[in-house]
Amino acid sequence: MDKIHSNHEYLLKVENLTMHYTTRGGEVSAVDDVSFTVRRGETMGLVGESGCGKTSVALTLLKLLPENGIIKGGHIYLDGMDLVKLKEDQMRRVRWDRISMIFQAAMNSLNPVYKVSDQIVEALEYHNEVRTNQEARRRLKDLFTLVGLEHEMLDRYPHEYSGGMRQRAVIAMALACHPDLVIADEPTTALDVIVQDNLLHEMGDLQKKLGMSMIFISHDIAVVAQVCDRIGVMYAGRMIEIGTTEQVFKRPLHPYTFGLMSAFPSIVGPKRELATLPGEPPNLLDPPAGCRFHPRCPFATEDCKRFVPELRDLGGGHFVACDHPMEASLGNP
Amino acid sequence: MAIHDSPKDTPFEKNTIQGNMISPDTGFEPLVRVVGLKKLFPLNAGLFREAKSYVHAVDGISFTIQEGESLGLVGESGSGKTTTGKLLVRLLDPTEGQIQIVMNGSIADVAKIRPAEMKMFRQSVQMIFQDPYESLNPRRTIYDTVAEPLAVQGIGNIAEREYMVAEILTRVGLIPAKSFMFRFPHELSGGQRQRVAIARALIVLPTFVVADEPTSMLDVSVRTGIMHLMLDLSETLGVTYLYITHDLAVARYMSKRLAVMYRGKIVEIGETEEVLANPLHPYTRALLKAVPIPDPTMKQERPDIKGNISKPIDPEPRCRYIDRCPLAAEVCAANDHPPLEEITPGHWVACYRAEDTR
Amino acid sequence: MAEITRPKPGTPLRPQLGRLGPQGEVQVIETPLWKIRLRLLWRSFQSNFKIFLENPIGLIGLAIILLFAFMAAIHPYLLENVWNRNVYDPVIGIDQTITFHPAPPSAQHLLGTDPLGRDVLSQLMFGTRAAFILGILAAFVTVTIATTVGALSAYYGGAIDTFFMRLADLIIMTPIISLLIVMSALFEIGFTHLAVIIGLLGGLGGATIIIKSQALTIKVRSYIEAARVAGGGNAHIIFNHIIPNLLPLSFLYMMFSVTSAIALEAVLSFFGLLNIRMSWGLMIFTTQRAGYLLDLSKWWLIFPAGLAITMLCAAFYLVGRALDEVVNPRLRKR
Repeated sequence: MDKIHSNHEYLLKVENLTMHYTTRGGEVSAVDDVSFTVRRGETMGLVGESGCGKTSVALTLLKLLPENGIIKGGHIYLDGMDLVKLKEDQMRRVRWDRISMIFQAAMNSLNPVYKVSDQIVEALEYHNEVRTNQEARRRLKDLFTLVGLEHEMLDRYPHEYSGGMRQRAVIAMALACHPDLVIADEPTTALDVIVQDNLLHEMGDLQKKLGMSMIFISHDIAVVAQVCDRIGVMYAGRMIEIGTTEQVFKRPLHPYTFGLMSAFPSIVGPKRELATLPGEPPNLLDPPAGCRFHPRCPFATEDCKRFVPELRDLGGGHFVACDHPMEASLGNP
Repeated sequence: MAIHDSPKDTPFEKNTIQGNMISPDTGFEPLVRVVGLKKLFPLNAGLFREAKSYVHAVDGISFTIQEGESLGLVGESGSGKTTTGKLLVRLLDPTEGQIQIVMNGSIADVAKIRPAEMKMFRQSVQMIFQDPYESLNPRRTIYDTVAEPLAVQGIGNIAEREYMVAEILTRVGLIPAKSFMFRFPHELSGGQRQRVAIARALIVLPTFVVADEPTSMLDVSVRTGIMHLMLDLSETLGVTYLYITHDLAVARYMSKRLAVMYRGKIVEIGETEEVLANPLHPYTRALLKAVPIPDPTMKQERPDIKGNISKPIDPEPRCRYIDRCPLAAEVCAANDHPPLEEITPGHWVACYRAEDTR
Repeated sequence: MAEITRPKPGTPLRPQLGRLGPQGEVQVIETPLWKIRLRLLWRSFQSNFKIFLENPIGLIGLAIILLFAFMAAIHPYLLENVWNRNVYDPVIGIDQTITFHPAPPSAQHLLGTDPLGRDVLSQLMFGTRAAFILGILAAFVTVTIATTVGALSAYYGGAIDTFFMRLADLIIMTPIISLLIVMSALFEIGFTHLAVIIGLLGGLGGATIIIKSQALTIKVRSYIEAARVAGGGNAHIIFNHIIPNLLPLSFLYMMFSVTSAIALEAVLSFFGLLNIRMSWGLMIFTTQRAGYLLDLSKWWLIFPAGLAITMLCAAFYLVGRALDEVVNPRLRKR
C-alpha cells in the first residue's frame, strides 16, 4: 500500500472515542470520551493503572476488539482517514501496514507451532510487501538485524527464544511492514532491568531511523519518563491529563497524577515519604457520576460529583480534565 | 534443641569471613545467619541416569540478618534470590551450607530441624508470596486461608481462632474484618488479596518473614499501601524481613541493608543508602544506571555491561561476572569467584578490582 | 490495639492475638462456623445453578433426567395401587387374557407385552430405576477412585505414579466386554457386582489420567507452597487443597461415567451375561431370544427400551456438557 505522506498536522487524531464492553452484568464503560493526538515521529505515552482503559484504547485503535466490545462514538483519524467508519476488510489493509501493535506478554503474539520466520513472512505477504521468497528472506534478515537478533534464530521456534529475545521478535513482527504508528503495550514489563534498558534504547534508535510514531502504554511511569515525548494519563476510562513529559512530571495538575507521581519510589534523591492513594479504582460497570475520581480526591467538591470535567488547555499544550487542578488548590504558581 | 556455636569450625570457601563479621559487630547474635549456602539442581537426570550437569541456583552465599534490620535481596531473574528465599523457609533443602536462625531463644540449624520442632519453626519463620492471585486457594474463604497456620498447628480453639483472624485482618487494614472473613479470593482486589497473604503470614507472630516480591504484581498506588503496611507491622509486631525484589527503588524503601545477587552469588552487601550512593561492584553500578528514573529532566548514562545473563550451569572456577564486566582483568580469570571483602565499614564487595576502581 | 510483647526466650510461644476475656467467652461471630459454611455452600450452589440454567443443553438434559426419575418413582406406587400385580409385574407378571404374546399396544398395555406376556411399560419403568442406581453407583465409585488415585499419583510421583499410570494404560487397552464375558463365565455377576466392577475399571482407567493431569496443575500453584509454609503436611495439602480443587472436574466426569455405565450394562445384558432380574438391556435380550429382534412389526419390543437407553445416556451427557461451562469459566459466553 502506498504510504502517502500527507500534510495533515497530526498522524493520529483521536476525537471523543467511546467504547463499551457488553457483559452479562451490564455495560462496562471502558473508554469514555477519549481524545488525544500523535504527531509524526513522536512517542506518546499512555499511563495509568490496571483497568484504566489504556489497553482498551489500543485495541480500539486497531479495531481488534472482542465480540462484546462496541465503539459507541467518536473518531479515529489516521492521516485524515476515519478508522471508525472503515469496514473490516478495509481495516485489515490498515492493520500492520500503517498501524501495528506490540502486545503485552510476547508469548501471546507468537504461535508456538510455527517458526518465527514463517509468522513474520505471513504479515509481509498479506500486505504485498514482498513478492518472492528471496525478497522475503532478505527482508527478514534486515528486520532481525534491526532488532538485534541473530539471523540463525530465524528458523527457530518461539520456545527456543529467551524472554528478551522473544520481545525483540515481537517488535520485529510489528515493524515488518514499516508502519507509521506502533502501539507498544507494556513491552518491557516482564523483562529484567538491564534487558529493558537495552530494549528501550534500541526501540528509540529504531524509531528515529524509521521515522515512525509510537504510542507507549505502561503503568511504569519511570520508563515513560525516559522514553516518551508526551504523556496522556488515563483514569477509569477517561483521559484526565495530557502534556509534554516534562509538564506532566514537573507540574502535575490533576490530583490523581499528582498522587501517582508522589507514590513512585526512586533510587536517586533523598528518601522521601511515599504517598498512598486511598481507595480503589472504580468499577466501570457503574462508574461514579461526574468526575470519576471524586470518591478518592481530597479536593472534591459537590460540583465534582455532578459535572464531568472537560479536558482543557491550561497553557502550553498542557491539558487537564479537572475543575480544581492542583496548582489552584495548592496556591502555587 | 542443641545450641550451636558460632560457625568458626564449619568449612568455608577460602578467604571468606569468619564468624560474626559480616554484620556490624553489635554484640548481638544475628537473627538469621547463612553460611556457604548452596543449592544445586540436577539437569537431565532420569530414572536410570545420573545427572551430568547442575544448575548452581545458589552458589555459596553467606550473610547475616540482625533482628530489626530488614535485608533487601535484589537481582535479576536467574540470580537465585527466589531460591534463597525458599531455602530460608525450608520449602527447599540446601545442597550444602547452613542456615541458622534464632528460634525461641536458641539457635537452630534450619536444615536439621526435627519433625518435633517443625511447629516451632513454622511459627517463627513465614513467607509472603509474589502473586496475590495464585497464593490464595480460590475455593477457600478468607477465614480458612488466614486461619490455616493456626488450624494446621493446632493453635487455639474455634472461638480463639476466629478472634485471632479478626484481629489480624483488622491490623492489615481489611476493615470490617467480619465482612471480609467469609468472602472468597475472587471477590477481592489484588491489593486486598495481598493483605490477606500478609495476614496469613503474620498471624502466628513470626520473628522472621521472607517476602518474595510481594508488590511486583500490584498497581503503583496499591503498592505503596502495602509497603507502608509491611513497614508498620514490622515495628508493631517485631518482624524482620528478607525483602526479595528486582526493583531497586522498592528495596530502598523496605530495607536497611541491601544484598545484590548475580548468578547465585552475592556480589555486594551493605547499608542500603551506602550501596546505592557508592556502588562498588560493576554489576551494581550497571543495575543502578539501568533503572529508569521518574524524572524526564535527568538523562541517564548507559550501564557499562555487555552480553546477556545466562543460566549458572556448571560455572567455571573464575569470577562469575567476568563475561560481562568492563573491569575484567587476569586476576579475575585466574582465581575462583572472589570472596566478599569489607572495603568500607559495613560495606562488602566480591570483586578483585574493587580497591583499584573505587 | 493492644501492645504486642515478645515472649521471653524459653517460654513457649503463645499467640497473643485474640486474648479471650477472663471467662474465655469472646465471640466474634454470632453464628457458628458450620452454619456459615453451609450458607456459603448454598449460595455458591445457587449461583452455579443459575449459570447452568442459562445453557439450553443443560435444561434439556435435566428435563429428561427428571422425567425418567419421575417414572422410576411412581412405578412402585402404580404397582401397589393402580395395577393388578399379577398382570403388571415387570418380571413375573403375565396377562392371560391375551392369547398371543407379544401383544401390540392396547388400552390395557400402553406399550404392549413382551414375548413372555409381561407389560412392556412396566418393564420400562422398572428398568429406569435399575439404570439410575447402576449408573450413579458405578459413576460414584469411578470418580472416588479416580480422584484419590489421581491426586496421590500427581502429588507423590515416582513409583506410585508409574504404577497407576501403567495400570491405567493396561485397562484402557483391555476390551471391557471381553473381560466381562470371561468374568461372567467364572462367577455370577449381579447388579452390585457390576456397579463395583465398572466403577473399579473406570476409576483406575482413563479417568485417573485426566484427573491426575489436573492435579498436576494444582500441585504447582503458589497456595500449595503457602500451605506448606504454614505448616501443612502431605495429608493436609492433599485433602484440603488438591482434592477440593479437583472436585468440580470429578463431578463433571461423573456425569460422563453414568453414560458409559448405563450403556455398558445394556450391552452386557443383551449378551445375557448378567444375573439381573430386569433392565432395559434385558428387555432387548428377551426379544432377541424370542427371535423378534429384526421384526419391525413388533416395534414395541425394542424401540421403547432402545430409546430409553439412548435418551437417558444422552441426558446425562448433555448435563455434563452444560456443567463443563460452569466448571470452566472460559467456556461461558459473556
